[in-house]
Amino acid sequence: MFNAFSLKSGVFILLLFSFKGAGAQTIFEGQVLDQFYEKPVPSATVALIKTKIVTLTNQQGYFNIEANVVLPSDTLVFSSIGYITKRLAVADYTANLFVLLTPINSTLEEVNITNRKLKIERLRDFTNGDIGTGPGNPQSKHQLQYAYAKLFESKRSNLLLKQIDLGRHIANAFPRIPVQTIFLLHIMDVDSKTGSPGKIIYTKQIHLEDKSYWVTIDLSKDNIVIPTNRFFISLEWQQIPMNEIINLGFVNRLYKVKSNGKQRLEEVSEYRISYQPIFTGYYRSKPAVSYTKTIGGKWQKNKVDLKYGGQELALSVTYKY
Amino acid sequence: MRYLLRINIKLMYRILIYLIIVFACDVQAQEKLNIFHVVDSISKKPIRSASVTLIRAKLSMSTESDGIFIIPGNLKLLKDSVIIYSQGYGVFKTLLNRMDGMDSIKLAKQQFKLDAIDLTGKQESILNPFKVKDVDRFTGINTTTTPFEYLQLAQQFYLIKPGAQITKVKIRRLAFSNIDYSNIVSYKGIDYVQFRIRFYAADSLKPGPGREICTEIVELSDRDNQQISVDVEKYHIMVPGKSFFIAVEWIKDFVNQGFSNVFDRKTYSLKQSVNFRPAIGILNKRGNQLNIWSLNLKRQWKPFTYYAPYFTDLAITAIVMQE
Repeated sequence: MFNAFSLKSGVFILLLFSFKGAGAQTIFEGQVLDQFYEKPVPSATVALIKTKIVTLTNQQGYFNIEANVVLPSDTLVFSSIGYITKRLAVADYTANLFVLLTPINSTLEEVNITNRKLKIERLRDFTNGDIGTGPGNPQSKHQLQYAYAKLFESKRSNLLLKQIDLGRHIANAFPRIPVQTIFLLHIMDVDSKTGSPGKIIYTKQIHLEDKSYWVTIDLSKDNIVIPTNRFFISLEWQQIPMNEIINLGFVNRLYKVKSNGKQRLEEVSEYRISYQPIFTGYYRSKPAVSYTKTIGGKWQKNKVDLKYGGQELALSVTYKY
Repeated sequence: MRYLLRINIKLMYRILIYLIIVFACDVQAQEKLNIFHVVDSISKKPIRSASVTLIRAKLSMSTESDGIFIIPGNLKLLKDSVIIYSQGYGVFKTLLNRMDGMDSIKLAKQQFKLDAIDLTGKQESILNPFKVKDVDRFTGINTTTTPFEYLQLAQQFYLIKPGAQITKVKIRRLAFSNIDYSNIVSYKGIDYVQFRIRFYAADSLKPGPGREICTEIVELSDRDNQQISVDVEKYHIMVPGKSFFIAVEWIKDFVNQGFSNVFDRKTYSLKQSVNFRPAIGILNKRGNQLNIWSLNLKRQWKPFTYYAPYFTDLAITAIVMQE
């Protein structure tokens, strides 16, 4: 179930590598993730050696280096206490590259975990490969009262929630997709009559401030205990200015009336607003049961094709029991 | 003939505005069109891009090159206030019903001459600098949450010591520069923009913009660039104190007219509304205080709280020379 523990220990570096035309500036940005725990590695050192630029990853393991001049022979070096330092040539990078680093002593980590009084499990796990799949926001014409809920079923009850992991999709759109976004995270019980999302047990406002594709929300200090073995995690979009994405459409207007009386039209801009965030969605032959809340606040079960399966959002939960 | 056709297009645009006014004023099928000419009180020349605002109807438009604007209906029955203003002129404000029978609105010039100063030996300072990656939001668009009902938006700047000359201005705006124009009849309807920039000293009595420090018209036009820079040294714009404002003024005319299509929460349907370019960039930063001010349709300066508390500055950079 918690397949992360069965993977080789190591660190993923999700390198959201990009060269941007901000003048002559080159921007390196990415995310350092611990593969063993599948959580970000904060305060890891990231250095561009020849250019002599050093930075630290933030709480999401995200880093950003901006350099006016980058030598093709330059190297990015990633290091953190407990992990083997990784050196990667700038020329070797491609967009959305995952780089695996090995921890210095992975067996020690495993012993620590099994010695704990409470065991850890993860439900509906996804991988770094799933994150690159594509956008998965449920279809909604107007994004009003817009929310998604995914059902989690455990073999146990009295679950102490530890963390929630999410995949975020930030497309190379124009204009740029705004980096900062706010959304609501709900923990909900299951309506005993309909099986749809029921009462809200817990709500937390999440403010994302960087371009991390893998988002970890730490709930260890929130003391959320789920008494039953079935519950929903819901993501609710907020129609607020921060989340606006401006899309360009075209409509016609009268441009000229010709001498023969025929009208000539021209296309003019029509701005259409949609709302952040965009989450990663991937297909599973047996996707999680999920619902979408649309106009009127009603939950509607998302359809699954018997032959091809269906899509679910990259959303997992880790709990102790 | 071509001139007449152009006039027709403008007339069509005005009719569109009439229809909006008719709808907003809740008047019935109109039997009368009231045509007004906004002119200079001395030269009698028409004033282009003068701002005409109906307060109660929350409508704002700009005069075309002939200085004409039209309001339909029996003005005696319409209860609204009108404010007409153009840069460098005094404000004309009256009740709509008092305009019945009027033909022209004469605006009186209120300009002052600024002397050139020697910039030799002075140092350049860049205020509110930003990079491309610092801007991924734009304001000036009707959205699901709020219609954009402002005449100007201003960014406040601060100097280390009083006194400076503004020499350059850089503005980032929304432009979809990746458009293939080869199959588009006229590029003007997409990203093309005309707007004015205004300069204000800080008000000495209350927070916000005060008197103008440049009464000459600084009008910019651009096809599809996201970043627009203008050299304003020739205008001799002097900042008297330690703070000043640079504002973008929308010209609400045919050239800048586009649309926005947003969800209407009342009718649960998509609604198209007229939207005027440009949309101005918002910096992805949270300053110590809100530095964006908006001039509403009543011509009152208010803090622009749309993105508060997260974003506090417009993507406008000022370059000044100081001793």
